[in-house]
Amino acid sequence: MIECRAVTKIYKGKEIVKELNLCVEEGAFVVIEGESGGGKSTLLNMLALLVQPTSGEILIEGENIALLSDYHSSQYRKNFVGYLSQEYYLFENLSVYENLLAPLVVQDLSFGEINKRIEQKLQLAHIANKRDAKVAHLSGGEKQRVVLAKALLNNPKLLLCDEPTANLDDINTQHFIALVEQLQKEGSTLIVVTHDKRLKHLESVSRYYKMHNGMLQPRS
Amino acid sequence: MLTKLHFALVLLLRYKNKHLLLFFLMSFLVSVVSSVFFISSSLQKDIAQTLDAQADITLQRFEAGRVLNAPQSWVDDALDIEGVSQAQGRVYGMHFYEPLEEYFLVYGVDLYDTQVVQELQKVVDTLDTEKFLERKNMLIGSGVKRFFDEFAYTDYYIFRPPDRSREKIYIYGVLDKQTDVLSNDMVLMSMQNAKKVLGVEDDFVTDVVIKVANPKELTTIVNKLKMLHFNVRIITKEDIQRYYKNIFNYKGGLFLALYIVTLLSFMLILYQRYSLTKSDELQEVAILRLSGWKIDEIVWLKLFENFVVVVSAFMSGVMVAFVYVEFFGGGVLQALFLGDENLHMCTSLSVDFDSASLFGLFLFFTLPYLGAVVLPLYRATTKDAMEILR
Repeated sequence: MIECRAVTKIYKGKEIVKELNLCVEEGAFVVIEGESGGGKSTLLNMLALLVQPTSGEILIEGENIALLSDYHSSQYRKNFVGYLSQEYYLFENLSVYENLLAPLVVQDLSFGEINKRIEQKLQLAHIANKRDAKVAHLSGGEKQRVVLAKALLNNPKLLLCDEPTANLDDINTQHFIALVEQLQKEGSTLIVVTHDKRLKHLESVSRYYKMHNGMLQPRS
Repeated sequence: MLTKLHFALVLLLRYKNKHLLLFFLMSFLVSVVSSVFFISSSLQKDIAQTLDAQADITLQRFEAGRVLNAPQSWVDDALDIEGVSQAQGRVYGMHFYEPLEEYFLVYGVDLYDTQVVQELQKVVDTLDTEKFLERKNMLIGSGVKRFFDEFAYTDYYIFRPPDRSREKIYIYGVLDKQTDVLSNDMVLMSMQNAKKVLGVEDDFVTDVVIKVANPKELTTIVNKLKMLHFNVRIITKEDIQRYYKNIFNYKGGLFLALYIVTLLSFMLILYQRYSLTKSDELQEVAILRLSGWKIDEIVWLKLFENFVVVVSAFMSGVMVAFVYVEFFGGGVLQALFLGDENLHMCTSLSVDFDSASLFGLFLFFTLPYLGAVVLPLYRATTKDAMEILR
């Protein structure tokens, strides 16, 4: 279970997230929408341990992740969480394959296992045909799929998605929806920040929130 | 471990343009400094070795401010002084080589006598005296050989003594490269031939070299020589060493300027490196953090990447310097060091490795460089990854 207790994030003097409380059960599919600058991405970044909250607690299975050591926070990112970011945080000069290598080389896997897992995730993200292409030469949608493949590499228990379909065409959006629903069935917890109506109205969505001025408001 | 190494190599190759630029700049700086190291230590070693083997005292006839040939009898006079273990007359002088308008040092030796100058004795020891004296032969320094070769004087050379007669002397061999700094422009021949070539009368010598058994008696012997022949100039081995030391200290100043320029360039590279670290590489660090890399894993990755660049740059710089000094004689740098004062022809040096200085140089280049890379990266790893990516 993921629990946020009075989480606040102040950045450059501005309160981005205010006293936020959230409780997400294991296997839930949570959708959050809201206007730009409302603090949605900051919330996901805090859950991915890429940003530390200014105050409050983020508990995952009862443990405050903000207090984890470098070793344990790396383990958390490496083994527990998959992050599909809005921006493409990729090595532009490396190939797709080499980009996917980065998270796997720090896991104790053999070359065979690494290659097998990369091939598998490239297939899942429908980007296998660009395996050896340089990321800098890919379109926005293709990069989005590379980020998706990367997020799935560690078979995450918690998948955080920030505007995952923003750059995808209809076919790839349908693929993505099918994929996240499959992941949910397999027991993964999903927290998706989106404006996409197709995602908001999915039957599998267990909770739906609107984020406004750093605060979450439940929606039916 | 292997997979991490593989990834490090992938990064190294993908960013090869950036690394190659640094590699060439660092190599260039290292090669300049190493060349100076090699040249100065080689020259100092060569000169120290050669000067060490010089006579303790050189006695010259000095009248009206001019050095004149000394009578041969001065050799016996010196030998009569208590404490003098050996004395020998020398015949030498400059010969003008007309084709290239250069001067050679013609040096005459008595091949049947023990040489006071140890370096000469070494040369004489390797000679088959009978064979050498069969006809008019000479040994030449490597600089002289180059000039002779240029005008196809491969078997013999015809000297024109001051009386404008012709003296044909055959080339017997080339002097040892180890003594090149002093013997580069030297032509060695028998005493009789040297006297003919230089126009020295039979019972005269250019100067007298003296060996002293006990160095503590040197001052006393010098004083006795002065009293014996009031019109003399006496040069001790220490005087010669001091003279060369002064020249090298002066030249050392020029090299200090070169070092400072190199140091400033290196600082500039460090600054550039530090600035680069601030931008694209910090983003790289953030992506790795996002991918689950620990701080120490990132630091080791970056250390490895840059260590490969800086060590290979250092090694290639040292190798370039070695080839430059050993096979190309140090070119411009050597000319800067030796100048025209005491040697007017380029010498070929035997590279002398000063491993401690080389190791010091290695540390001087690698540690600040790696520090300039790793410290800002380490600071970045302790920040929020998103803060860097923004």
